Amino acid sequence: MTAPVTDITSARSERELVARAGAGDSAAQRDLYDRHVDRVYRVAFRLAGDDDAARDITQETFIRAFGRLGEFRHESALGTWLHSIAVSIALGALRKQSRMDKRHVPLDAAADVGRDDVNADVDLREQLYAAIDALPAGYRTVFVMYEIEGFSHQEIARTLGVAETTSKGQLFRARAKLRESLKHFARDSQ
Amino acid sequence: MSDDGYIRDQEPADGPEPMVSDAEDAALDALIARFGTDYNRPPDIVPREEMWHEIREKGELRRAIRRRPIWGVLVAAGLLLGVGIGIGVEAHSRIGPHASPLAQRESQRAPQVAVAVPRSPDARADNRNVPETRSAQRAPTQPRVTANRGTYASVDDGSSSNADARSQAYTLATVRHFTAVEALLTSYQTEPHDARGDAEMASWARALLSQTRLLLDSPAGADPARQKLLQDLELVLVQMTQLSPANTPIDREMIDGSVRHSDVITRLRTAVPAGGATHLQ
Repeated sequence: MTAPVTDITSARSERELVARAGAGDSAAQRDLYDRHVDRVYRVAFRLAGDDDAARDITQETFIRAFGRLGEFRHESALGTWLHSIAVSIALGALRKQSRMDKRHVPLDAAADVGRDDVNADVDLREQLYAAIDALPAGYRTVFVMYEIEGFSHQEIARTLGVAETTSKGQLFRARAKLRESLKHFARDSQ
Repeated sequence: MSDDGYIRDQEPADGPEPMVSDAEDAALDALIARFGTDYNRPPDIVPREEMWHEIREKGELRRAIRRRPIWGVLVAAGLLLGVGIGIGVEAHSRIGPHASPLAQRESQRAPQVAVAVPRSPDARADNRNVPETRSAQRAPTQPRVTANRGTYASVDDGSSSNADARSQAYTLATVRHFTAVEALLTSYQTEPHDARGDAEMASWARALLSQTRLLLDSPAGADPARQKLLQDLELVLVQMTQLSPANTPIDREMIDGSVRHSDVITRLRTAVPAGGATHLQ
């Protein structure tokens, strides 16, 4: 089966763009940036949780990528390569400066909150977010990419440089931790 | 998985896999479906232009910094030579060609002090004693006639203008050095850590470390605040000379910790006047 003509053309033009961008052509760099920045920023924001950090991660991703385009061998899609750089930077940044503190809702505090439907919804949402924030960074990365951003395990595995089974295992454990974190709340809200 | 943020294929055992009921899993799925999309929800409009502007600016800056190592090494070598000659000349001029054998031996040791690399606390103590020894040997009856009259006269005559000129030369050398170290530290903090980058940083740090030690042994290190800064820089630079691809994140944390703890970047910026060395020339 042959690939559609548009895919081949697109791939060829991206290769050309990468070559030109790697040689320092700023128009080509801008073109690549425009093609990928939205998705990179989106993932960065999901992982970092605020605009400043997401901007820093996105900018750093493209600065590094433009500096290393000569090393890019087209063994994966450029988008995957960019995401792997972005996730690596995000994990490093999160490890250095934990941004988990911003939603300091103690999980056990839920029982003290009023129980009308609206409040219960807000509480439930906040508890979920706090529980996701509290996940170890590796679990959270896979969880966010798979459950929220809709990446496949294959894409996650390529992005993170791990086996697909590892990605699945991380997700399983992330979900287990979330269930554990939320079980008191679920019990109370029943 | 460990909590260090890294994902590895070989995961450590995390206890037995928990038993999960379908109901629990379905409840979590429902929760994620209901609220998941709003978790750290990015804004609808991506600040493309602002980020692109930053990328261009930072990219340019880094390229400029990356070109600096060669410049830095050349400047370091020049200053090494210049300050080394300065120390040698000063020592010689204080002692003179007709000085006692003891003083001449001290004079011969001067260049070694200038390029002293390994510095134990004892060595430092020795170095601190050197100026006293030299001043003790500067007896007023010592003859000062030398073949190179002009040079020695400029050092020996004790006029305040010459002393000022020498002091200014050391200040200029120190400011240039501080500027170069600040460039290195900025580059270290902003550059990606890869094998090539580490090798460049280590090489750059080695050149600056020699110069730092040289300045510490020179009159530039006599000022207590400047001496403390040079000593802190020495510690950071020693750590940076060890940079290699084999480094662990802990090694880098130690460097980061030293930079943070001693607040050297802020102190460097404070020590360098607006306009840098150019301003002083």
